[in-house]
Amino acid sequence: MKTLSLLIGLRLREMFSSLLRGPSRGGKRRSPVVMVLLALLLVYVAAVFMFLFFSVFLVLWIALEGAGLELSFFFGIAGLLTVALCVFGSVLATQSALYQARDNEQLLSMPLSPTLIMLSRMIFLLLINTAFAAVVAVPAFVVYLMLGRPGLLSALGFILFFILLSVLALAISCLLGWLVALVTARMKHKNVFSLIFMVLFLILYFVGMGALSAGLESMEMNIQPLVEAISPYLAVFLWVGRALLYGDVLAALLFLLVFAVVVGCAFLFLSRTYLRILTTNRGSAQYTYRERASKQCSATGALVKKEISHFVGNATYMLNEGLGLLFAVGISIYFLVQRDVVLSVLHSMGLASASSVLVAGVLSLCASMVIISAPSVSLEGKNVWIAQSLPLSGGQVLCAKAYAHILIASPFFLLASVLCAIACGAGPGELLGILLLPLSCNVFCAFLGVTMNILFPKLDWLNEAYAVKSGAAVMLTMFGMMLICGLQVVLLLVLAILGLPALVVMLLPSALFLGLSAALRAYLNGAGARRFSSL
Amino acid sequence: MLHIEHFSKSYGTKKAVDDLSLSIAPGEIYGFIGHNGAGKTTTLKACCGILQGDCGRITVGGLSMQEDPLGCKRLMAYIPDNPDLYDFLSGIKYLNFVADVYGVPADLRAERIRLYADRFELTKDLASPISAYSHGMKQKLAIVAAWLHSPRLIIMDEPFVGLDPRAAHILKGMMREHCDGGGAIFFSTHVLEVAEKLCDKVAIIQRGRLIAAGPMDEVKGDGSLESVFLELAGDTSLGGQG
Repeated sequence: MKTLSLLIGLRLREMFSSLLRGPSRGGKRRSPVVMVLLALLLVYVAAVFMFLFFSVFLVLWIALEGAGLELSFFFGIAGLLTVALCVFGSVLATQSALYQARDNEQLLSMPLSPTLIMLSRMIFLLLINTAFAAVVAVPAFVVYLMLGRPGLLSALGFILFFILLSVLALAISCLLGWLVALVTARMKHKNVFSLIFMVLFLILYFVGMGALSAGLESMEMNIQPLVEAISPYLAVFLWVGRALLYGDVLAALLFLLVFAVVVGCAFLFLSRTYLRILTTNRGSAQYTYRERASKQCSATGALVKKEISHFVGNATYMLNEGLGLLFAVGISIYFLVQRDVVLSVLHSMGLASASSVLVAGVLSLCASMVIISAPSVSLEGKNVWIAQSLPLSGGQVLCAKAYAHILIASPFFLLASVLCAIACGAGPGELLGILLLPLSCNVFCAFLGVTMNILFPKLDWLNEAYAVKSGAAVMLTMFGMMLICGLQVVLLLVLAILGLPALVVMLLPSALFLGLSAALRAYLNGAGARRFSSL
Repeated sequence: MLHIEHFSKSYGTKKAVDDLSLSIAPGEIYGFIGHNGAGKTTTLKACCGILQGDCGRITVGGLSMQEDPLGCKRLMAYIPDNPDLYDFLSGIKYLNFVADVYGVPADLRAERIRLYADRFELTKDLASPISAYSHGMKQKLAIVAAWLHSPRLIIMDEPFVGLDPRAAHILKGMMREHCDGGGAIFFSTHVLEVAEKLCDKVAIIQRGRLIAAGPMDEVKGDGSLESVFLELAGDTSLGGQG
């Protein structure tokens, strides 16, 4: 038990050290102001998501009660969303934390049971899963308290239910992680498989969420068909609802039985295969070297190529920081295919004349979700000595990270902008605006990401996924950009309603983004470069 | 080629390097020895511009590291004690990256990659990702990358760690060859027999202070480098314990 707590403490220290300590070699503690800002950011992020889920659960409860339907469906949906969010949020991180952690070999060489090592990693992952689960569970609990008025026992049962759900989600994540590790063990292009796996998972998630959202929209009119259609798939979660609402002991026991079987089987299976997977050298994929003439490029070009190689070589990196690219292209294709429907909706809202402005705003929102550059300094990790010892200025290294971001994302936004411009029948002026706004937002996001990361670098990670997913710079850039772009959409609408020409409306924020980008670039070449050389 | 004048560096209250001065001329292999934590790596990193000192001056080929770090770095190459390289690149991509940064023309780099990778029997592995390399292979790749742009000064931290005897032998030959061609090498090592046979000059550092420096024959006198080192180190550290 003592060893287990030591191992868990090790993981926790790794996680918190980036937040508590600065990037300098001495590991100086961050100032209280920075700590407070980071805490506020975390609260803001959690609040945004919790508010979204709260709205969904509130509508759901009222609709179910209004239609006189079984309220256990509420728990079914809440349970499903919890498990889906936990699994989606942690499957690749679970795989890399279990099987690819840098200290696996070191720990295996110590007199520690492999099951204990695995368990320590699982418990740490459970903490992350519980945090994900809380984003869904807290709003569901608030709605349950407000409208369900449960007794103390039911309230405690609800909390226990969600803790068990995060354990269940962890078991599923671990099994999926094991599957990914097994399939990719000898693959040349592991990242391609992981990418396809996660994109399919993502599509499934969003199709499911889309269907649920469409169902919720039509709830007040007719919720019964939705409940009847989904209920059979939610049986496990519905049992909990019945146990909490009606004190159905049998339903509670059935849930606990399913939970115990799934979690027990997953744990037994993983503990039996863990050591074998870690210690069996299945041999890496074979590569044949053929000498080819290489083209000489500039130092900045070489840095940009290196950054792009890093991005396309890591599925977790691509999915977490490049998701907005998929959204941009997906939205533009949807708009082109469903042009008439979308335009008629805009027409009914009195926004038909502002369609090009809105489209540009939506694409720039997608651009705000592309944060490729945000973990790029942290990802240097132990390799930071290379850039520092080569004849490269800090500004050159940092700006190359932003350029790589811009180069990767721009083709996607160009394509999306052109498709959207065709869909809304934009003239040359509007086309220019639709092209310029998302691109300038993308440029700003690229420079902001690097700036945030040079201010909040985390170089001593044990697992690359940690730098990619949960660094302070990633959070600050993502939510900062979402806030800025959200405000920008409001500004665009106000300017459009005031009657300014569409091109002018789109050029104003574009110019602002480019101006701010120039300021950030100057910072990276000055103070940012000095910070880089002292990392 | 490399001049270090009154260089000092502290980490908090601990003085890692204290008023260190030495000079390395073209054609010299200069060994740098000392016990763990003596200040060797700190000094080597400062010479490469990776670490900023508290005071003192370092020049490479007449250029000041403080005033013209990029100019200095163009003249040199550095191999750290633990060659953490970009795992996401293949060996050949890493070499091309380094060659691009130093502006090595395409035909020349191909010739040099062929020459040095063949020497270390690394050529067939150049297409593999660095993540699949062993420690020794990474070390060999770092050596090939260091030699790629024909630097005038090569700084190496424990370069023989992880190398098999054949590769270590080849590296020693390359070091001699490099210095015979007018280059200079400054390297740290714990293998005193290697230092004794290979180095033209040697410096011994203890607790951040240089306690001996000069031509190998002068430093070791009639004894071996090992006995001199132990004697010099023992005078203070054993005295402290006693």
